[in-house]
Amino acid sequence: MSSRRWSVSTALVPMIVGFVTPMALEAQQVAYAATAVSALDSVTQAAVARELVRARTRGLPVQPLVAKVREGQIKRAAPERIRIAVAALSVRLDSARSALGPTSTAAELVAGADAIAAGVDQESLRTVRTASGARDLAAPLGALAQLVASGVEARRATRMIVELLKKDAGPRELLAFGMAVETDVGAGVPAEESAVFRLRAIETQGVGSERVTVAGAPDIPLGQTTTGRPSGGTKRKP
Amino acid sequence: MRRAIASSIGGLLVLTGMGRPLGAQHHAALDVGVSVVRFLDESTTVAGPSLGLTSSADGRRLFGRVNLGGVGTIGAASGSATVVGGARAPVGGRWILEGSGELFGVAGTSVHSAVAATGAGRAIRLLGDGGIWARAAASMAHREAGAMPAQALEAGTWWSWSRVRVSALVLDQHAQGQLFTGPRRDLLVGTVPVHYQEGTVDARIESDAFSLDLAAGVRRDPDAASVYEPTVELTAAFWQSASRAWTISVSRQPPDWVRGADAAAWVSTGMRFYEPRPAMARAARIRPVVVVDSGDGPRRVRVLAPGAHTVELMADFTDWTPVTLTPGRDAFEGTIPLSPGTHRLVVRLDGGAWRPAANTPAVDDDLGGRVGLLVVP
Repeated sequence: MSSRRWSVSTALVPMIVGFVTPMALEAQQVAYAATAVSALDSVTQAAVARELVRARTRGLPVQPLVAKVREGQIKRAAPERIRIAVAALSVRLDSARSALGPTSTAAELVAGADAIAAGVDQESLRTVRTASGARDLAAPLGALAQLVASGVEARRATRMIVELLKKDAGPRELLAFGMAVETDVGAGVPAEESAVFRLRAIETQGVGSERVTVAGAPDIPLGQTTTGRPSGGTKRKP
Repeated sequence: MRRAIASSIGGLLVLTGMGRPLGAQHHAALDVGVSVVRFLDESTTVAGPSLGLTSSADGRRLFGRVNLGGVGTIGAASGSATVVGGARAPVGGRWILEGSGELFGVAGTSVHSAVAATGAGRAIRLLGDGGIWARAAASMAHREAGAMPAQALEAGTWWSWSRVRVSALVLDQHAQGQLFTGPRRDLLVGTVPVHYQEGTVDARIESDAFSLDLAAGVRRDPDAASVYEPTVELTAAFWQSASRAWTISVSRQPPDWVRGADAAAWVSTGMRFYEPRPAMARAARIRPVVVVDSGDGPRRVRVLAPGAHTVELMADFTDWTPVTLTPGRDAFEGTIPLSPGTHRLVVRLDGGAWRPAANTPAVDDDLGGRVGLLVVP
């Protein structure tokens, strides 16, 4: 039985490589895909291979799917869970492309898929696409995903991102905005309250301000940034 | 006599079943040991093995806790359970509103079962590394005398440093007390209203492998035999491994009229399992912030984690391989090839759990966990 499984596995690896290669992936990525997928059991390999083939056929980027396999392995997820995760990501990438258009870059599709995972709908993605014009969408969509994941209602977050895009906000302003809101939320500030405050701060300082030049820096500490979990309230311990 | 001992044990469990302060996000501890308890009103002393289990989860919005306890002595055994659940929501201006409910029950081989339900609302105001709160609670207990309501108003404050946490509260409690008579205080006469005020100061002091919990206070009850009654509890824990500690506890508590515990003084010692060393628990409380420097080519990734000894990072841009960052002047850092776009990452402090950084919004990783979203311009 074990030799049969081995033969099935070894047969699937060239199949995966064969399907991935025509996608014009770099040789390194092909080797990476084969290595990642070959570590799975034969049943999961076959299922994941089908997902990769389906994604390739539909013109979706394959590398994020292979990375999901690797992530699942490192996190010691069950093979079935890895297969489901790959399939779910494939669906999100497909939805993102359908909303953003067939000319979207892989980075834009990944950002769109992340936004969908956070709770953004396709209509909002189309709105951001329209507002962005010819600009790269990865940063606006990334910031949108961050806002929604932080707790800002999706349509409201979309309006905020569109507002910033109309003011020619660059990727750094957009991303600092999203991360600052999350920092505030972690300190106990309601997400929407923080988002409104941060948006006004950016508008007041002017887009392109030097204050928001580093991705992720908690530049305007609206709330507490290091601790803040409420404690106490009971008078004895067991 | 057996009934009295069992009742006393039930009272002990009421005392030991009470809650902890809000603490780590996930907490579990198993206590196994022996206790010697002296019930002050009856001058009765019991001794026996004891067992306690605490499990709690504290999320951003929801929190919950379960306490199970049991103790046995010759010819008697008893157990109790407490389930607490609640939700909190920020309401602006650094105010947080919290609602919670508690169910408490005790049962034993020869003791009447007793249950108590409590609903409470709390308003919390965050102030720097601490805050203040005001709380109102209403309880309904069912004991020998039937339904027994209670109400409480409470105000408190807390402050946290890296290795010290202090809280203080004042409480005004209305409740019903049961009156017993007879040589063994086992004949129920009736109930009387009880009204008292209480002030308590709690402190926790910890090193990497040691913790000391101290609670001291006083209760003012004009109708009690002693108008002012002291409240003292001291628990020391000495960790012998990452999740195993030897504990010793000394306590003196006045009666708990809400749940039905008699005044008692006790000494307990034993082993505590599954509670992480204080150093690890501190790492879990740190809120790491990820900063990516701008520029082309490999980027410098910095993680601000004050108080941490080691910081690891694992992300799609590390091929989900853990990377140990180098301690710098004010952050842990590493230079990692990082393309513009959205990335998913988690960090780990001092060998604790992998988790999203504080400034990277978390999304489902489709694998049963959460990852932080980092967007690089």
